[in-house]
Amino acid sequence: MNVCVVKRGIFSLRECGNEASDICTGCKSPICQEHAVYSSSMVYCAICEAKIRAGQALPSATDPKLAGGTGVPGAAPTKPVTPVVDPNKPVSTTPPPAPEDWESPGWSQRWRYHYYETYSYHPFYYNSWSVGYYDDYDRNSFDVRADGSFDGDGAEAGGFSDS
Amino acid sequence: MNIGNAWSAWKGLDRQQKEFLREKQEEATLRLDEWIPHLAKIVKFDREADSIRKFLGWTGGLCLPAGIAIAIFAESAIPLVICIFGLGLLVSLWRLSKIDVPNGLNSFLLPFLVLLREETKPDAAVTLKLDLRGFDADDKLLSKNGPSSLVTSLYKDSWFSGSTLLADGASLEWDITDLVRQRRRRKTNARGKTKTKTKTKARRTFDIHLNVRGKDYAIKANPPELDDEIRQKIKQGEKRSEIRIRTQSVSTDPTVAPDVDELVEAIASAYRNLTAPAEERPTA
Repeated sequence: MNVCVVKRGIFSLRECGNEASDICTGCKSPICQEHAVYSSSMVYCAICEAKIRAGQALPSATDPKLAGGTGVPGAAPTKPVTPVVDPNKPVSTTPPPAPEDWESPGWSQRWRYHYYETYSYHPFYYNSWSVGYYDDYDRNSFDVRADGSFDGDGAEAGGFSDS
Repeated sequence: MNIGNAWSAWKGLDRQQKEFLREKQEEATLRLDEWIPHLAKIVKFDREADSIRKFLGWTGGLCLPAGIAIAIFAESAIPLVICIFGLGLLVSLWRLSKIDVPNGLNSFLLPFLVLLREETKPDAAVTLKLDLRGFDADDKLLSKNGPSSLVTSLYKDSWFSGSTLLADGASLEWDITDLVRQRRRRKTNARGKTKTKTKTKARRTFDIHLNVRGKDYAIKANPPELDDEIRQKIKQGEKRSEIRIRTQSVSTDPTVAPDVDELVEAIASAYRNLTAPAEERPTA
C-alpha cells in the first residue's frame, strides 16, 4: 500500500498516515485525497502547489528536505531531527496565503510553506513510530549506532546472520 | 449583498452560536473538528451581515431626508411610507450591529485553529476562552484617573486563551492579552464649542507555556539568541521540561487582530529551545 508522503504538523512533523490515491504531477510522490490539490487536469501535493504559486522550482521525488513537506517514503524511523537554524541564511518572504482562504484545501500546507520560508523555522521530524504503530521497544531496534550500524547488525547482536 | 443568504445563514445557527453573537464570549472544551465548524458558521453569517449593514446604513440614511424632501413638495402618504421604511432599515442596522463580531475571528482565530489542527491528534480536546467584546468593556477597566479635560483609562483585555495536548505529547497553553491606555482629551474653544479627541495605545502580550516530554525533547545547551521583545523562562526536568515565552508588541489600534504568524512564531520560539534527546541505549 502506498502511503501519502505529505507530513502533518508545523513545529514537529509526522507522517500523514493516509493511503495514497494520487501521484503528484510535480514531485511524483504518492499523495492522499486530503493533501491533493486539483488544478485543471493536474493534481499536485499541497507543497508543489504552494511552490507553483510562489513561482519556484518544484522539488524532485527524492528531495529529503523535510521542511518542504515531502520526504523519502519509507525512510527509517528515527528520533526527532534536531532543527538547524542558519543565522546567516537570508530570510525570504514568501507571501502568506490570504487568511480568508483558510477553508480552501491545502491552505494550512501552503501557510506552513510560507512560514518555513519566511521565518527560517526548521521543524522536528517524527517518523512512523510516532503514529502509534511502533512502541519504544520496536523503536530501539532502529537506533543508529555511532559506527552507523543498526542494533541487530553483525554477529555480536544476538547471533542472527543473513540466510 | 443578499438578504436571503444572510437570513439562511442566521437560520443555520444553533442556540450557542446565536448566544456567542450576542455575548461575544465563550469558554468551552471541544475537539477542533467541532470548534472549527462552530466558529465557521458564525463567520459565514457575519460576512453576509457585514454586506447588509452597508446597504442598510446607506439606504436608511437616504430614505429619511428623501422622505422629508418629498413631503415638502407633495401632499400624499408616500413620504411617510418612505420615512417609516428608512427608520425600519436603521433599526435593523442597529440590531445587526449588536451581533457584529470582530473580523479577527475570520482573519486570525479560525486560521490559527486550522493550523493547530495540523499539530494535534484528531481526538484532542482544545479548551478555548474567547472574549471578543472589545477592550473597553466595563469589567476590563483597571483604572481611570485625571481631570475631566484629560481622562486616562487603563484596560486589560485577555481576549484569546486556550490549551491543548499536541500530537508530539507536548502540552500547549497560550494567552493573548492587550493592555490598553486610552486618553480622552476634551477642549472647549472661545466660542464655547467642545471637541473631544481620543488616543489609544495598546501593548499586546503573547504568553506561551509549552510543556514537553523529556523522552522526546531536551533543552538546548546553548539556547538561541532572542529579540528584545521576547522573554523566556526554561525549567528542565527529568520527565518533562517547561518553556515559558512572553512576546510583546505595541500598536495604536487594539481592535486590529494580530497576524497568525505572530502567535505561531511565539510558539515556535519555545520549540527553538529544544533539541532531540540524548540517545538512550536499552539497559536490558
